[in-house]
Amino acid sequence: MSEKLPGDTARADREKDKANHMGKADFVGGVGIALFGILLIFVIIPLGTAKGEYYGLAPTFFPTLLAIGVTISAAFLAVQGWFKMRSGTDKRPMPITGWNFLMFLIAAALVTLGVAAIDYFGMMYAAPVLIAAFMLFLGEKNIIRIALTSTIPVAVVYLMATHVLRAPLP
Amino acid sequence: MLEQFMTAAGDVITIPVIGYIILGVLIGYVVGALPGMNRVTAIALALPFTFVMSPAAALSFLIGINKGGAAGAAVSAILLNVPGEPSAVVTTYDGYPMAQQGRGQKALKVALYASVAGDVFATLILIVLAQPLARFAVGLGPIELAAILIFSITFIAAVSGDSFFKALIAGFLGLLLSAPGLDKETGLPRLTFGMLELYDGIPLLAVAIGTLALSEILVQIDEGWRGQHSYPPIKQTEGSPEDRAFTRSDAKRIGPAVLRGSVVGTAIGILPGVGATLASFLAYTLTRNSSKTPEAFGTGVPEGVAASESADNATVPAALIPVFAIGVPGSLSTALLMGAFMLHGLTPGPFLFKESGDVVFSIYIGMIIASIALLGVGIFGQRIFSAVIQVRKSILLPIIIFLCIVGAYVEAGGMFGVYLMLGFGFFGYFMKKFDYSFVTFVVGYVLGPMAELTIRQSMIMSNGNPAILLKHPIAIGFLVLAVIAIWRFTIVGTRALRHGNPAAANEEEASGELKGP
Repeated sequence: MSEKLPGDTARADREKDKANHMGKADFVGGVGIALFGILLIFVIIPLGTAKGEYYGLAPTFFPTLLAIGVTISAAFLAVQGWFKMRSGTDKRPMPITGWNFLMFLIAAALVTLGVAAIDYFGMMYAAPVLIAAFMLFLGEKNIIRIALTSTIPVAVVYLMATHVLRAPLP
Repeated sequence: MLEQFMTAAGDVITIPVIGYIILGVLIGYVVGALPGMNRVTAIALALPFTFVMSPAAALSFLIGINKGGAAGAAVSAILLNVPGEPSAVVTTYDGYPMAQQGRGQKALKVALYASVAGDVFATLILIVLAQPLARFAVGLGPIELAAILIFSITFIAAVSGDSFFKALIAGFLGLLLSAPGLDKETGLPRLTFGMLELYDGIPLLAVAIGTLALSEILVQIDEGWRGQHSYPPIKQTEGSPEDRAFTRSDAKRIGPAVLRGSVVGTAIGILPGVGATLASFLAYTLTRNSSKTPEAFGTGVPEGVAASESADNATVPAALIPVFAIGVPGSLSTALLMGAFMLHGLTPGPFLFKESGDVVFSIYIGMIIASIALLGVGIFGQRIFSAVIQVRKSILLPIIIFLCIVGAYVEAGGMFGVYLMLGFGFFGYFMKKFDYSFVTFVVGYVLGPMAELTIRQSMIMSNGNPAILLKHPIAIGFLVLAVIAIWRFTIVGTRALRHGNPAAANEEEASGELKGP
């Protein structure tokens, strides 16, 4: 059996720490959602419901009941996450890495900007730019493919909405 | 009844409606065949385009997408070894080896015929069972219905995802999402925060498209960014004509497997939340265990493909049985279909047969036409779909994002719905990443109004006294089942976890037979 080196304990701790990520995520998520539930029960639901006269159960009854359900379930999740962290047996890694999150942020920013542009300039002008921007983001380099993909679907949707569905478009 | 049937036939057997159904099956088939895309995304995106259709045409079109999606998922599973949907994972076990041996065309045909057989079988069971069950459900009062809803959500939470509590949180949040708007009883605005757009509640399409379609695209973007958006070319070597053809002896050989798959798929499809994946695994395992050569499974056995595909497709019509009978959806696609019922002014549940019997018959006829269309589209389109599955994601994903925006705009008639959809898309991304169940979330949202009504009525009837339950044995039965589900999936699961074996805990939640050969 090989001799234990000084760095091994720290490395083992780091490995254990890594393995506990999902447990940590459950614990943090559980605590966060439980706090949100409490906020719902005592602040958001009472403030967000109009006051008035009524018979029977208050309009806040059902959402409050559900918020209590959210809070209790989240508290149990936090406890379960805590046990997972303590036992260090949940081997699943954190589902979001820094790289994943960066890609999500860029995609979310692109789609939000695209929607704002559609709102401001209209679908016919902004949608092809949004599609082209996403294609470039996803690594597409072929200009003809980008040009065709960003215009044909917009034209098809425009024709369908105006001639078949008779639906409004942004 | 005959008069209703004739009226329904007159409504459905028209060129435009049949055209919509074929289009639905075609869209479903293509989306199902595309790896990473799924029928739920397709239904969510197609919902806004059904506003111009009659209720029967719209629902048949959407059911066509659902059926086509279930069948299409086999194409990429067989040719690429990449299942179009999770339920097609089992099809890869024998489908892909068959393709590698030059029998890809035969595998596709086996999958198609098994899919159609499973689908027809379950459609007939739906037609036979739904109305008698609905007749029984008409007699149920609010206390029984509330108990059934509590059981359904608890059971779905228990069998979906890796954590019961996460699924339960998702269910409660989904139910909570149905609360904003004018309170039905008092007429007072609730959780609207002064926004007139919320007086009618949160629009279904904003929730459905955001959480089911946009979030899926965001996950795919972050997981396969740049360079990983296309699949390797299909390594399918063409075999002899016998290897490509589907012969009478093939039909004889796969017959028992198809029947087994159809029965298993139908039985599991009726249960809320269990889903097609478990059905196909179970049908495959049963077929392998009853085979004289179980060791051959996994090396390219047509029965394996037939069992999994027939079970997968049988779950689609079977999952509609509880929707038609008691108005409770058990899966994402049926929750969306239930939303579509509501958007078209229909109330799914026991009164559907009484109030809109002709529409129900129209849907039945539409479903049978969809089954025939499934066969036709599959036979004539298989070579085309084999090419379609290689479309680059850098082309596909931006188009879907664009369709998400248009779809959310159409229902709400303004940008408010689009911004809401974006919010739900981002929310859904984190739900998906951290394993919070989408099924309980969407089912909760769709069932919210019914849950509130029945729980409020029960509270008023009982005057807050739980002893009233003693007069309602059916309600007690469902509540006991809910408690058993909680016990089974929390206490037993947690004990396994505490003993240092989370895998055992997770496996207890899934089926013990979920591994491949």
